[in-house]
Amino acid sequence: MQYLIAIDKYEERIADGDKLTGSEMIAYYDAKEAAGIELTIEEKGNRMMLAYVEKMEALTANSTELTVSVLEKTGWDGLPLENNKNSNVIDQMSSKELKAVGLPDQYGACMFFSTIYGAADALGVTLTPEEVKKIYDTAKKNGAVSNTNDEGGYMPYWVNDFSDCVMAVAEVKKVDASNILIADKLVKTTPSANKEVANEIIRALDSGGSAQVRYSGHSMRVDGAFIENGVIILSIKDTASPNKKTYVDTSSMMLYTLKYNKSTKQYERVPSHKVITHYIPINKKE
Amino acid sequence: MRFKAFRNFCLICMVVIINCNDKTAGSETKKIQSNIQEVAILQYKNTPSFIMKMKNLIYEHEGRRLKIPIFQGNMGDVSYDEFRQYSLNKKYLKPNEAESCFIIKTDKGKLTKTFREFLVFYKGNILKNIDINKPSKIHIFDEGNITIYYDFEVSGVSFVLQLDIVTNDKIKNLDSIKSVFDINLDETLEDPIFRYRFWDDYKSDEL
Repeated sequence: MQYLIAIDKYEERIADGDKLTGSEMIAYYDAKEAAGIELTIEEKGNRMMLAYVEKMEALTANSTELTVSVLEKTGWDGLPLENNKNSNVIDQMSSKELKAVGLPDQYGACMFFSTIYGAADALGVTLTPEEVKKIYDTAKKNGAVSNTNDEGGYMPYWVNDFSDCVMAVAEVKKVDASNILIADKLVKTTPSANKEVANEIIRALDSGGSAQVRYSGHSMRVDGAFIENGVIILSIKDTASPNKKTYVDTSSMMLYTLKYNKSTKQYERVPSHKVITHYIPINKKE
Repeated sequence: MRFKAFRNFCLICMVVIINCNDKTAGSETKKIQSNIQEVAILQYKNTPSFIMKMKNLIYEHEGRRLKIPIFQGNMGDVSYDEFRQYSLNKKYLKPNEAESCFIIKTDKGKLTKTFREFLVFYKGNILKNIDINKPSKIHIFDEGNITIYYDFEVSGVSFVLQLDIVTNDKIKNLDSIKSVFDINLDETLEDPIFRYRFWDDYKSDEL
């Protein structure tokens, strides 16, 4: 009965030439459906479109210019993105974990680990520590990893070719990587290029891919993104501190962790002094 | 009559005592606020990092005041909450944002020497029961960046001292570090600094 009354009211207004708002039109369609009146295909389509417009308007109402621009350029619907098939990773700072699977007990595994775990996320596979070792051996064999620097220092985890690292993951996991797009080298950047970086990373995540960011000589994997107070935040998996949740605020590209403040009873940001210098997206083709 | 006079005298005394106490409290508050001189907490290059010249930083935990001495500090005590409020008022920090770290800045060529003095200073107080050569955790990054963590306690509350340095040495893994005192910092840095930070109510394995 109440639905029929509501329907009558809306229809009277429409007959009087009133223009219903988007949410009123949605409420009108919902009331019709609740009253057992079947919606036409056109009405159903109209309701879906109005709901989408409402959601986008709500999302962009409080968003920064940067967020609105990224949403428009990438087509991301603004709902949280998460692409993490590899939550459990080898702690690159643990000699014990490296030695346990026969990996070199040396610093600098961040770039290699971020690359292969990111590739695995994009390929939709999970890596065991033993598989990481197999991938390392395969990548080393094809020249994708390990190098000697200008001063003669051997860097076992230096990535020479990102694409070949992805191929090594695919080979070990026996999956097809032909739909994965990754540049050969890291892309240089600065905090002021945040718009470009945010666009590229969101596009990669939204495609089902992944990304890597490098801050002051340390590479980390981007495993998700969400909007907080109108600002796009990237969620980071750091193999140097695998259990510490880390984030990037794209309005400044500030890297930060969270700390609970007992006085204010709130989590607060602890900014890192590290600065973004490079990034690389891993895109997934349709 | 005499009782009335005595009662009035007592009332006047009480009013005077309350008034005096109130003034004392007021002047104490002002004193705390004025303790932070402009040069005592300096923002470092428009970042959420600070060159701290206060003598002690005081953390409060369940009514206890936990004193952390500050290396090269000599400008009185400041509570951590006051430091935060001061930084917020000055717009050095945003709401719900903590400091990134504190900075030790030296003259060119004095970085390693100052780093060793820093270690010796803290060995004399908060790290007195800690073997400096056995940090709780060390993270070795590319380009000579090293983070060293020391767990310590003050009156039963866990703290971590985090040190961020850039080394000149070719450190490949933890076995390469025989003694923290022997680490040579990169003296060629354009800005000769190293960073430190205190984490209250934390242990290094949480970081």
